[in-house]
Amino acid sequence: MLTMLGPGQRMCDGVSRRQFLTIGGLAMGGISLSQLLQAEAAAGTKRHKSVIMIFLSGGPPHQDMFDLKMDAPVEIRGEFQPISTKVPGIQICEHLPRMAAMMDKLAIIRSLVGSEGRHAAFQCMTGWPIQQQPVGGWPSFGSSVAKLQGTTDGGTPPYVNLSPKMKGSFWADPGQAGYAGAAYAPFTPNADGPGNLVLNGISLEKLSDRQALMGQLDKLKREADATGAIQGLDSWQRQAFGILTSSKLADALDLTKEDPKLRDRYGRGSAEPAGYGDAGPLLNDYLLAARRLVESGVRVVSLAYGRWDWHGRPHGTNFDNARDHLPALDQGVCTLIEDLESRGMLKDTSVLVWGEFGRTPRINKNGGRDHWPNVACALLAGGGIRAGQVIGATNRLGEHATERPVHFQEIFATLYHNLGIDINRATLNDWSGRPRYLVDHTRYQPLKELT
Amino acid sequence: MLTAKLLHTLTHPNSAYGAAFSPDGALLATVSMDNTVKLWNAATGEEKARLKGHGDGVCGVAFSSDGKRLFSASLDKTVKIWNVNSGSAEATLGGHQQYIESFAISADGKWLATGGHDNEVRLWSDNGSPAGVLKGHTEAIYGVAISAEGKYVASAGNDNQLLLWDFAAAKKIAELKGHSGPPQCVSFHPDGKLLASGGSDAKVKIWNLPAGDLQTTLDGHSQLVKCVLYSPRGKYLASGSVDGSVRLYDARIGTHLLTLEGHKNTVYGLAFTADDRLLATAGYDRTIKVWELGKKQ
Repeated sequence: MLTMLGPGQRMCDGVSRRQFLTIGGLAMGGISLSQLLQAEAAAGTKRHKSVIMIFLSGGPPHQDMFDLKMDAPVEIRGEFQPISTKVPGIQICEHLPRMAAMMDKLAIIRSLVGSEGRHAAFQCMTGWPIQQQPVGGWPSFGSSVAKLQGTTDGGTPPYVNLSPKMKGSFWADPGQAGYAGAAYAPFTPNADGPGNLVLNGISLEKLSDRQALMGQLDKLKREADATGAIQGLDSWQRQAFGILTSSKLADALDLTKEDPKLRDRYGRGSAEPAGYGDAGPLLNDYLLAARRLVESGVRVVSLAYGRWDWHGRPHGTNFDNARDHLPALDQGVCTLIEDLESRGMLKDTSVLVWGEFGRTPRINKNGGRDHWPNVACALLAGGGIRAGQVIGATNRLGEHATERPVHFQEIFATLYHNLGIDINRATLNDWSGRPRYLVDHTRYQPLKELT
Repeated sequence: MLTAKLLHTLTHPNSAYGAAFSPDGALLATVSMDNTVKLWNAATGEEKARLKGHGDGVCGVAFSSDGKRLFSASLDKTVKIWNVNSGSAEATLGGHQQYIESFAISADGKWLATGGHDNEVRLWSDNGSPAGVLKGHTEAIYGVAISAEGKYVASAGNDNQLLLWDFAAAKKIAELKGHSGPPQCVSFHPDGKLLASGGSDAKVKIWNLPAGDLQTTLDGHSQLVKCVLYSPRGKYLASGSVDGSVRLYDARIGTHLLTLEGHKNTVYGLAFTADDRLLATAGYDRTIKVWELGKKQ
């Protein structure tokens, strides 16, 4: 649901948080144009590049997906067998057969480190720990991109998060705008539950009633002016109006406009919460929607997928849940990659699949695996990366990285690079006016193995 | 030769934990980690109702002997009693301090048992009155069963104990030793003279009662046996496993009769109709399969 001017929590600055989270991200105002052009020119990018980030809420089991430990004792090894992939020498879990068959298009990180160990989307959305944030807070990746690059054509927002409302709100976090400014918050069509696109009672069908819409926008403008929270509102207003009155966004989110056979190939899925019921659904429709959004001009699409916090019985063992989730992920991600490729979009679209941490090597007494921030895994595809490889390794028990530890920020550095943003030059000011680099570029750079 | 024809594949939006047929076989109740109970027309596979009210996954289900009420046990630590006609919850039974994971009803429908992660077995009459608490396990109870007339209770725990209890006295009678690793599930033969158990060792074991001596061990599953169930007429013993298969045995002599393939994940629950004709199998793959059993000459 796209809600404008709806009831929301009044923040200490007098601005309704919800108002700007729901329609923020539509804007480009407030950016230094020279900064944008400088960053893009430095990377030599002209085309619309994009990122689809699939957040596996809860922490996927690295050792049961991409780094099986067959030499470990049974209490660590688990139930699954490895299978060979299209790339000689690389093996992954037997429940990911389609990924295995397209391994030449994928890159696996087996040595993801630097997790703050928190059950939250925060680090996967921002690249930073939640503690000790700068003034205004860290912007999420999508918000930074939205501020730096703006919209592609004025008809779609630059940043969309598809996650629905969840009991576990820390997993539903769509990514905060932080010091990028509320105008760069993600557009969150599902935040109030999957369903209709409604603008505070104005359905998309009635958007032709420009006067009504302008009335809503004017009200928002008055409130924003009163607080001084948004600069350049006129520019923002124009662009918001352009997006809201364009059919591109609504069309992209309307999966009934898609070929049902393709929707079947993605796997559709259930809209009900997966697993324990406190996280998002295992809904492959989201992946199709992500492709449609990117195709329509969105730069960054993020979404929470499934419920990967598998502590064991009575909510099923780690392996019961893996047999449930992995085939769905396998189908959805592989179809997404095939679909992007068939449309000529794969080289311009980076796909990232990851979670907030890995899971304990030792299987607990309930058949589960617990939280393991020491090491995790990630999957990358598209965006022009050199695929068909594994980066990093862990020890025999999957406890820690032994080769090429890859920090979360190196993944973000790679994504920024793929979008044509030079992390060594682009900055955003925090609310104290201090320029902030997008990642700690003195320590972390794009993965040279991929770029 | 025993045969099975797949009649229906029914679905929940989350993993299915259990199933039960109404006494007349007309309704099938299924339960899921989606926190709901679904009622189906067993003949057509049409969904009749979805009962909502539990706050966590629903792990067990049974009809009352007259078919008018339904009992559901949940990870939310409660048992609910539902009016089948209205679909409303008439009572909620509490007492467990941790998750309930296992549930059983006696063949005469008079007694209920629940096993929890609080290491306790709780007993109830069919009107919801507490009928005792069995303490002796030191870890979560994965499987529980009550013999036909409520004479015995059996419980399987993650503490590796497979215990036989005297219901009336609420006293442990015997510990049945033979499985390697934790036993997972138990079922009494309707005549009360046999107990079947499934284990994490992928074995099904048959025990003589009341002595508790091991009669036989049935191999065949390749992974942990999650559920076992004798058919109401006592002809069959069914077992479901992490390997996704359901195996059917001659209940008396343990001969393997048939293997049902089709689930893509662990089989968590089993249910027969009163005439032993239909078998429902509930899987973590979010499906419940209804099989018609028959004989081929």
